[in-house]
Amino acid sequence: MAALRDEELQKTGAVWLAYNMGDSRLDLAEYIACNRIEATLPIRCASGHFCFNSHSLRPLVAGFQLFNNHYDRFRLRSHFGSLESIHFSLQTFGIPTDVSPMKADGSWSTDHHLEWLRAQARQEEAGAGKLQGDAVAEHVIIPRKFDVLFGKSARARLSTGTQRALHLVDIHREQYEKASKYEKTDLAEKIMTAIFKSNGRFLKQTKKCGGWTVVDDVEARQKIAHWFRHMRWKSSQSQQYEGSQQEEVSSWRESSNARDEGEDGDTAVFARPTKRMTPSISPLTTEGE
Amino acid sequence: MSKFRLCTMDLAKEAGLSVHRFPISSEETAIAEDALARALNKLSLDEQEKIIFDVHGIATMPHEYEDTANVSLKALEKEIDRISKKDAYNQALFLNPNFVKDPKFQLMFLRALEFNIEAAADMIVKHFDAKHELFGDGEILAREIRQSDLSARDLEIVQHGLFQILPTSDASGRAVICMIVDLHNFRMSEFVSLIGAQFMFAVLLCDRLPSAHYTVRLSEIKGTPNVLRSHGSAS
Repeated sequence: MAALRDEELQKTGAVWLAYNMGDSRLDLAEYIACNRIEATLPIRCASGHFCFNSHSLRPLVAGFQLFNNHYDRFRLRSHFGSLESIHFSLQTFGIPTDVSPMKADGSWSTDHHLEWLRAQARQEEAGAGKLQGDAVAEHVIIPRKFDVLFGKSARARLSTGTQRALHLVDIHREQYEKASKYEKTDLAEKIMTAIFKSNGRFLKQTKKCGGWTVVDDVEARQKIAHWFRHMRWKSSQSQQYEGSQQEEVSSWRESSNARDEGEDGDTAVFARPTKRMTPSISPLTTEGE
Repeated sequence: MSKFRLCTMDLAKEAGLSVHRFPISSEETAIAEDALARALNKLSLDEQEKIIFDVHGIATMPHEYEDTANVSLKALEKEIDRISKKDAYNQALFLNPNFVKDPKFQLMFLRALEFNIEAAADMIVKHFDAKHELFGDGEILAREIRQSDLSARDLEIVQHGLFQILPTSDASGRAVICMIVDLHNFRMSEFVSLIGAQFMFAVLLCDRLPSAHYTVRLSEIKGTPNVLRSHGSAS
C-alpha cells in the first residue's frame, strides 16, 4: 500500500470518499478535532466526495464546506440519493464504485481491508529485522493505473495497465517476428521502458503475503516475450481454425452440389459440420505464476 | 496544528453564522451556501480551473526537477531553523537525525503542500508536536509506528473498516480513501474513537515509512476531542 510513501500519490494527492448513510451527524467540535489530526499528515486531498441519503444532512454538508480550510473547501462534492444513484454520480468523477465497500443495506465490506491489514502485518513480521533505525523494508503496494498485473484473475487480466501492455505487444508483433534474437530482447525492453515511463510497474501477487510486489526486470521481460510467443500461437490457431472452416464450407458445397445433381437422392451426401474449434484463450491464463 | 490545513471560521463569521456549530436550519444552510458561492466567485479563474481539474482528475502535475527539489529542501531546512518553538522536533532530531532529515520524508510534506516552504516547515514541526502529544518523547517519536504497536482495542477499530483504501485507484490513478461515518457502533460521546481510528488509519497508510505513524489508546481517551493520550507501550 504505502500510500504516503508512493511518490505518485504524493504528487497527485488522494481522493477522499465519505459515506454518511443514515441520520448520523458529526458536530463541529468533532470535525475540528478530526481536522486537527489530519492537518499534521503529509497527504494532499485532491478532491473529496461526501455521500448521504438523508435530507436532514444537507446543512451538515454546507457546514463542512463553510468551516473547511481554503484549499479543501471547494474540492468537496456532495452526492445525495440511493446508493445506486450516488455510485452513478461518483462514476462521473472516475471513482471505481465497483470496488466500493459500501452496500445498499447500509453495511460495508471489510474483505479487502482485512486482507490488506493481514498482508501488512505479515510484511511487518517478515521485515521486522530490517525495521530498526531508518531502514525501510518492502511495502505493500496498491496497483496504479498503468501497472501490469500478473495472474489469472479477472482483475489482473482486465486491468488498464495489462490491457495497455498487451496492446503494445500486439502492435509490435510483426516487428518481433522479423527480429533477430537480440532485437527481440531490445523490443521487449522498449515496451518495458514505455510502461515504466507512464509510471507503470510489473506486479505479481505473492502467495506468502497476498499483496503485490514488483517483479525484477528479467521477469518482466520474460512476460513480454511470453506474450509475443502466445500471440504467435494464437494467430496460428486462428489461421488453422479459419482454414478448417473453409475446408468445411467447401466440402459442404461439394456435397450440396452432388445432392443437387443426383436428383434421385440416392447419391446425395450430407456433410455435417464438424465440432467448432475454440480459437484461443487469454494469454495470461497459460502461464503459471 | 499546521495552520495551513486547519478549519477556518472566517467565512462563517462573514456570513453571520455561529462559529460553534454547523448550520442546522434550512435558512442557515441557504446563508452558508450563498457565502460559499460568493467565496468561490472571488477566486481567480486560474484557481477555479485548478479546482475543477483536481476534482475531475485531469490536473497535470508540474515536472519535479531534482535541482528544484534540492533547493526546496535546503530552503525547508532554513525555514525550520527559523521556527523557535519546536521542542518535539528537536527531540526527534536528537533521537534519530537520519529519520527526521531524510529527504524522502521531507519531500512528502513539501509535495503535500505544493512546495509551499513555509507551510511545509510548519507542518513538519506540528507533526512532531502531535506525535509527542500522543506518544511522549520515547524512541517512538523518531521511528515509525507498526501495526503490532496497536492495542487490541485500536486494532478492533481499525478492523471495523471505517477507513479503507480502495483496492483500485480512480480513473486518473489517484488512491481513493474511503471513510464510513458509523455513529451507531460508535456513539457521539465516543466519537473520539473515530478520530483515533482515522488517525491510525492515516498512519497505517504510511506503511512503515519513517513518518506519520500514530496511534492512540482509545480506552484512555476521555470525552473531549482534544484529549488525545499517548500510547502506553510506545513511550
